[in-house]
Amino acid sequence: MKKQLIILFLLISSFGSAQKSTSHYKKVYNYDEYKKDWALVKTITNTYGFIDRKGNEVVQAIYSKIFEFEIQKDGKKYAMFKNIAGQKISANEQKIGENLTLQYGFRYSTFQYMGAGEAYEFGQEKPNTRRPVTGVKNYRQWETIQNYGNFEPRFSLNYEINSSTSIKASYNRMAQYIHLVSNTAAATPVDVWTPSTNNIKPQLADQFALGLFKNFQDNTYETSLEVYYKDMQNQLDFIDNSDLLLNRYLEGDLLQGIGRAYGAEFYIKKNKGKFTGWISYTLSRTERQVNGLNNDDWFPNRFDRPHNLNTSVSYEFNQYWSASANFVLQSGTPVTFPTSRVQIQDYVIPYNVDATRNNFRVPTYHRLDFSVTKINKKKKPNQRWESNWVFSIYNAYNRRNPFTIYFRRNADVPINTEAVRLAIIGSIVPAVSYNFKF
Amino acid sequence: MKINKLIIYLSFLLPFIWACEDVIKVDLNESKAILTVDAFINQDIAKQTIRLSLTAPYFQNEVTPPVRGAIVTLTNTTQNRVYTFADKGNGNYEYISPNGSPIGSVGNEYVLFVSYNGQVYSSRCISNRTTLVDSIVYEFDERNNEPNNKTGYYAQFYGSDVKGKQDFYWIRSYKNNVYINSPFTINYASDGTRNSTPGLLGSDGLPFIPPIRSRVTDDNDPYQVGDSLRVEIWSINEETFEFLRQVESQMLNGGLFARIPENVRTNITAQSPNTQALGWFCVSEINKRGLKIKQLKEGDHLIQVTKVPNFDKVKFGTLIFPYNFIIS
Repeated sequence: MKKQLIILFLLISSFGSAQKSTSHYKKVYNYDEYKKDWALVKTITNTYGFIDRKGNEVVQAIYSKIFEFEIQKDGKKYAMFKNIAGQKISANEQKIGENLTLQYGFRYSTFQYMGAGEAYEFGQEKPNTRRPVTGVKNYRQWETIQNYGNFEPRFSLNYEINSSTSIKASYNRMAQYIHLVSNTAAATPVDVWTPSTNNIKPQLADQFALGLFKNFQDNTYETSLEVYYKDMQNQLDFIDNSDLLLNRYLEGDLLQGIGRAYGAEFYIKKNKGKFTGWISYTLSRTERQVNGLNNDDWFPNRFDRPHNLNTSVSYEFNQYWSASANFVLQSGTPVTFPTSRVQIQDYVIPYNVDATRNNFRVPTYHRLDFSVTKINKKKKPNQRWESNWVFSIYNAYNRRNPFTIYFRRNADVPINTEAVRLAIIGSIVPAVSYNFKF
Repeated sequence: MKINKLIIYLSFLLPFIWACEDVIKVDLNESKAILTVDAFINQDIAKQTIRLSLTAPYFQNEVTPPVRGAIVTLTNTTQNRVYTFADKGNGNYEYISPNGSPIGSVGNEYVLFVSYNGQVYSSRCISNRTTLVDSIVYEFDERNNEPNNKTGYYAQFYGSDVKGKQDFYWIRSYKNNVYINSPFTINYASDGTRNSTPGLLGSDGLPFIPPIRSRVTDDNDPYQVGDSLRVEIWSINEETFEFLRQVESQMLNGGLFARIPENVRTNITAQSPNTQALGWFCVSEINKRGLKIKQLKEGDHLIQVTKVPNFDKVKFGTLIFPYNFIIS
């Protein structure tokens, strides 16, 4: 079974839906290319559909692209993402008085999970256990297996207290129909994506944010303080000992829970003078709660980095020479580590006795980079050719930041277990580069 | 723009980018000790052993602490017989048949009871049929003596799945009577292959395919002249097959694409809901065959086929598998 990820986007404007006349297509493709006796058609507004030999529109020409999601013996399975946003309603800006600006709008998105193909029904099982398949239903080509629709309202407010100070507040809701399922310890390209199905509900997120922005000394310094809270529904997770790759009954191994993310971001930037730079610091949390995992308690998400500090400074010596430095410090991401060893039939098996998820953190990531730039003098004042040299050092103090940590049995003494750190760029990297433009 | 005057100096030091692995020390959380029941027993007349232990901190590089003073009984509910396993004081609980008869036969149902510290744990299992170790062959292979590539005798075994229903097997091999416990040689099969689905595409009734056949040799430690080798095929059920798969994937987990560690499942249930036990219980029918590795003349690429020790009906030449091979 071949699995591919396909995202179908389409926008129908409020006037786009008027183009339903079946006789005028921009292009009619060959018959039988996708299905016997069907032809793909393209409308003037660049949306696609299908007509049969008689010219009847068998699939309404409202989709922007047609891709296969999954190929099966009896046909192809399609997932379609239709995004209806009345453009005129979707973004409204309103100024109230001198200082207050409101922006609000909404969009409505729908998602159709379509045949041809099989859809599965799963029975109940206690959480964190594979759910058995109780029913398989066959769907014909283009038959809708499951339909989802969501209103996605948004609202934002900007209040200018004076010329250098303003407050912003916003709320928005987002729906996501494509899900990432990954059980690798580190972020790797072997992530599996799955569409929303009859068993997987779309992810919904509501985000609230509030920020204070203030500039000082005639805009020499920009500062801001923002706080946010995000509430998430239908977060996708998976059972222990799940089988995520090439698994026809993948949905039986998946769990859905809730999530939350909140934090505060501090930012200060110096814009003017020989010495410029910025510092940003974010204190945040990203957590989720899934019944059956981590004893039903909240646990940190795999992308949770409570502290995140980024600084960048640069100094201009003169017209030609400048130097800059970056420093990055981030909390390590959470990982699940075993706490114990279980010995069965002389095999040493790692085990987490508290059944906790993401119970440990990879060590803090930090790195310092330097660079010196020399801008080459122009030989003539109106010369178009500009060039510069950059001498840089990446990872200046040679920190071996772990990309991931895993455990293994010692190759020589099988009863011994050890932790292994895997670093991708675990050394200092000097570089010289020459940039030019003309 | 006069292009011919342009000289581009481009130089950069090759970034010394490499991924590097090193062993580090990690402080793991304090772990609590959980009773582990290691009960893989068989319907052979040999001594049956159940090992009880506690889980230990992950980096405690020694055998897990034994559990003494437990009461371990096995009931064959089909034949209505009870066997008591004697505490040997080292975590092992043993049963030796006094009259040379096995604890039961294929299709019997068993219940295991373990009573420890006032708690009772139990598990249930029905024994399945197994298949025959048809023959064992080996060849001498001169290699570089690097890890996983050593000079020695590499053995394979032949056998076929029993036709009819989906069968699950655990093939265990022993070098000089010691079980080869490398995680790279866990050898389980569903019908004739590693993962068979019932139906047309399945491997019902087929001979065991490689690498199942060759996994009786540990590439890190192949056989040498004089070593004894024994292959046993244990019948297991689907849950045990799944358990072995989990054990294998948890032990081999690592590298760039390492998965999040997951807890292997257990089929030992505690009678009180507040307690917990780990481990696995399975009663198997077994078939075994062994040989001693003899010097082969250089240039011979094969083979020595064993005599059938307990099974007179199968003769050479009437082997069930359709493969051609030379018998020297």
